[in-house]
Amino acid sequence: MDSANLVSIRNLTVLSGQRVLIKNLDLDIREGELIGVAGESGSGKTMFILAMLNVLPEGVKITSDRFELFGKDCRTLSSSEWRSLVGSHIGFVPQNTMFYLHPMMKIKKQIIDSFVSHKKGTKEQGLARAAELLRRVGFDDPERVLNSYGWELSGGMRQRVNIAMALMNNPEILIADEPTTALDAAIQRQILDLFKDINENEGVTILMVSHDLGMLHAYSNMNMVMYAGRMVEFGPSEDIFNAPAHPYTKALLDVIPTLSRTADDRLVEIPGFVPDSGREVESCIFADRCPYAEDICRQPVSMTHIAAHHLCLCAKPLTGGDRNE
Amino acid sequence: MLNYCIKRIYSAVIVVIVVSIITFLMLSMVSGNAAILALGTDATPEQLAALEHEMGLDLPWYLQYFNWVKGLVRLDFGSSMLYGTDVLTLIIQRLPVTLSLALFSMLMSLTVSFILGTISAVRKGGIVDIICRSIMQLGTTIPGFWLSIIFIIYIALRSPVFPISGFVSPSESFEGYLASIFLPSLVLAIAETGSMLRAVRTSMLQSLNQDYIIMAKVQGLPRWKIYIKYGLRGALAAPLNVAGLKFARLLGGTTIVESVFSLPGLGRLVLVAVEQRDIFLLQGTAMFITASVVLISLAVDIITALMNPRMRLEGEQS
Repeated sequence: MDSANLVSIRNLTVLSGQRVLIKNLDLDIREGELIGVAGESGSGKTMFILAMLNVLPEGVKITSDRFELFGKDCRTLSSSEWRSLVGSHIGFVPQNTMFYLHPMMKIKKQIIDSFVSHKKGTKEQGLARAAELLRRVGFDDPERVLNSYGWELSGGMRQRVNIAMALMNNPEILIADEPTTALDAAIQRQILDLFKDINENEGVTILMVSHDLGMLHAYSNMNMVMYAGRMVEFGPSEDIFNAPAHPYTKALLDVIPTLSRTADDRLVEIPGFVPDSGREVESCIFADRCPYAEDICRQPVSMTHIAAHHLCLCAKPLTGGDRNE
Repeated sequence: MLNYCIKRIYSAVIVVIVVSIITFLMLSMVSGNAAILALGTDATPEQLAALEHEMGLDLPWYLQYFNWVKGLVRLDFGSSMLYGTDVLTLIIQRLPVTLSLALFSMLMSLTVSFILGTISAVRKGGIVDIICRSIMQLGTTIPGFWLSIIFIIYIALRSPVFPISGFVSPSESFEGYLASIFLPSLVLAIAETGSMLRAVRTSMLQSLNQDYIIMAKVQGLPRWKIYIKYGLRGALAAPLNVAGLKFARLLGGTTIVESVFSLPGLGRLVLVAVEQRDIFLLQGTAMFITASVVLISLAVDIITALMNPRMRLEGEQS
């Protein structure tokens, strides 16, 4: 390990009643990484983020062998201590931008709330910082934005306000759940460039969930692929995108339409659906949809190291580029 | 916002007009005319005709109505046959009692509902929530007259503080006033708290489910801020609206409590008017109460609209 682990999770399982939502997830996040989290809808990406932020829906419980954020064992913290830790170290950029800003509050009231509550400075300092950050995310008139209500802004503007709000406390990690969904391409680009810039120039670690692999390819340096509540592959972008080891990753990459596609080509799809139940099995959960599945895939499977930082949960990984032309 | 107010005022005026027509027609058609009631059954037809002419009762109904409304506009509600005084004076004499009852009971009910409702929403399924759900059931089912009697027997009779009946005007003795109004207000408050509590709890639960609460939690804000500043702020409109309407309804709905506690309020005035067939008094009080109800709900609507920045700013944006 060349730098410290900001997040270290072992054997995380998320349960809703008896139903398994996420199973045996291990993850270390090192400082300075820009991690992409990929996977189809229902693969547990958002649930994983909510678990880290300690804002899981009612009735959803987690168990783990280790759950450390910034060196603190979250399993020993009370719920409010955990949230306070999250609030002062993690910035959260939500997916749907509509209702995260309080409809009855001006943005200036909401944006400095966390800053003041965590005793990072006075109200005036908070407002000054908010104005500076709003300028940073591309507003020319931060004063006007601060005096607006969330619903007075467009979706793209709201998302930029959310990002500015997430950056208020100088977070060590920025967690973004599909930050660019429902935004038009130009604003998407602008926001992703901003993330990249924050990551590279300020050393803020970023965890970005998306189902847009092309986007993750362009921006992330580490990637985590999730399927049906499991992390099936984790590794540096160049490995994941150029030589995926897990058949699911390969399938995901194959379904990205390319510009060279002609009108007659059918769009590729992965047959079947993400299983909603039965996620507790020990064998490979992708086997039913996997074109390479053999008998060995019905046996219990465990995480294997393909390379130093490249992990894969597959009985017969597609090692390197030999099967992947 | 201005548009909204104008629209709202417009519809309130229409409601008042319609109500006035209904009130007038119902009362002047149903129970024989006022002249017979005033003179009694022994009067000669000539006397009757003379009085009818004097009172304008021989005119067609729309002209009678028009005359009556002309009076109302000048705040002339006619005069009571029973008391022999101006109806408006009688109403103004009684108003403080009913207004105090309505105000105090709403204050009690609101305080309890907001505190308990918020806690029960935040700690859904907890002890407070269970207690609240029992209050919701009990409050709405306990009859007011029974509770009034129980209070009189078990509290007022045994305590030197609370009088058994009667009203003390605040100019006489403020403590006496509070003591005389406390028990009846409590009876009304208990009846109102059930649904009030439900309104707060439901609205609060809804607000706590919003994304802004997740954001507040993720930001690690202190609990009171999450629940009060963010949660309750988003949950105020519906319960306050309910409270306003309840308050308006109380102005005409305290009759039973006023009767049991012998308080000289509006409700009893209406009751007397009905019992004694004092038609002008009944028309006047009915009109006064409906107009107040309409006015108050108008005010409540405008206030809740003002509280919502989205409505407040509508039309002011470029």
